[in-house]
Amino acid sequence: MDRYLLIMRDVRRKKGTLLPIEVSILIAGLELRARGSKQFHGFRVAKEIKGRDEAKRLTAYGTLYRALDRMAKAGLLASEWEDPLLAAHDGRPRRRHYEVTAAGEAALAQVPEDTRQAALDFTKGLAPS
Amino acid sequence: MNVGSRSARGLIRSWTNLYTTGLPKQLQTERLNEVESDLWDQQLDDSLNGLAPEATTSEMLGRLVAGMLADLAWRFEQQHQSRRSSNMLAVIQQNTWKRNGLWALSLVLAAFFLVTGVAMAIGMEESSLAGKIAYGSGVFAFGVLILVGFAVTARRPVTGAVLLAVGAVGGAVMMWWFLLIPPVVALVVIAFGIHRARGFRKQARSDTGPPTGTAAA
Repeated sequence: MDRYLLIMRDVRRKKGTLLPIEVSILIAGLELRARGSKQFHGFRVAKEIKGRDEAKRLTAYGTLYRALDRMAKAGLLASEWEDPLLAAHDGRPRRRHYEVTAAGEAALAQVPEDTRQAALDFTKGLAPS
Repeated sequence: MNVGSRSARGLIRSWTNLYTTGLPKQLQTERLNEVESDLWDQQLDDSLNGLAPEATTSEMLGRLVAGMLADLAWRFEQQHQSRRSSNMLAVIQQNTWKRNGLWALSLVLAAFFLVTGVAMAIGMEESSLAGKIAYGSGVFAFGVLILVGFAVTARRPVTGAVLLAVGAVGGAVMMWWFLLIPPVVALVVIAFGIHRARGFRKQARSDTGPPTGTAAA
């Protein structure tokens, strides 16, 4: 099964290309940065994608965190866990903060318009008709 | 936070615990923390925006179900990379795609029963309240039986296989109206459960049996 999934992943994407969910995350991350939030956490980016693409639902947990993990490993995002004292002070679980890296920006800059549209369609597919 | 919302959060935590079982501790903890933080943020955001608790519950369950395949795919990617396994899952983690595929199928069936059970109990179906709670709880219980069956198979192969079979058959019978998918999947899961139980039994016998002079597998 694991071999199959890895093969499927390799067949599905060419080297250096981004999946629609990855494009959505990068765009959302850069839009948040433009509005003054350099870092974002999982729920924040899911909400941003939902608002931007007018999707019906937030991105699924599995889809979102698998993509964030993959992008962090690929160097498209930098990530760090927040100070546990800060989370304890606010009385909530610790957040993992992400930030779009220069490599992430460069990868997004190379994305053709039709792939950006595919990213939009990917999340918009959940939108009410 | 209402009952439905608490149940949904509990279900998501259980699912996350389940698909991260056997992975390195740090990976497991990080994924659990990340999902926990997301749940907390969503709950807060929805309540600040005046969203009904039922809507939050529904959205959480939707996000859970829609991401299950990605969760399993992530798990297998991590497993592939780390090559580490726990004692409990040693038999099913021998890198044969058939075993991993059947394992995933069984978990999906259990998760399907759990999610459907909760969805029915919290009122996504039009019927009498007592009826839908009883029906939903029944489906949920069969999903739990499958998971318990998995958990005990390593120590008690026969009991584990029986629990797994009862869960799969019971859930499939209750979901008979859902085309033929649950019964067919249930049959595959039962066959896998028996195969797995036999493997554990054989392993237990070889561990406790007299030394024969041959190398252990």
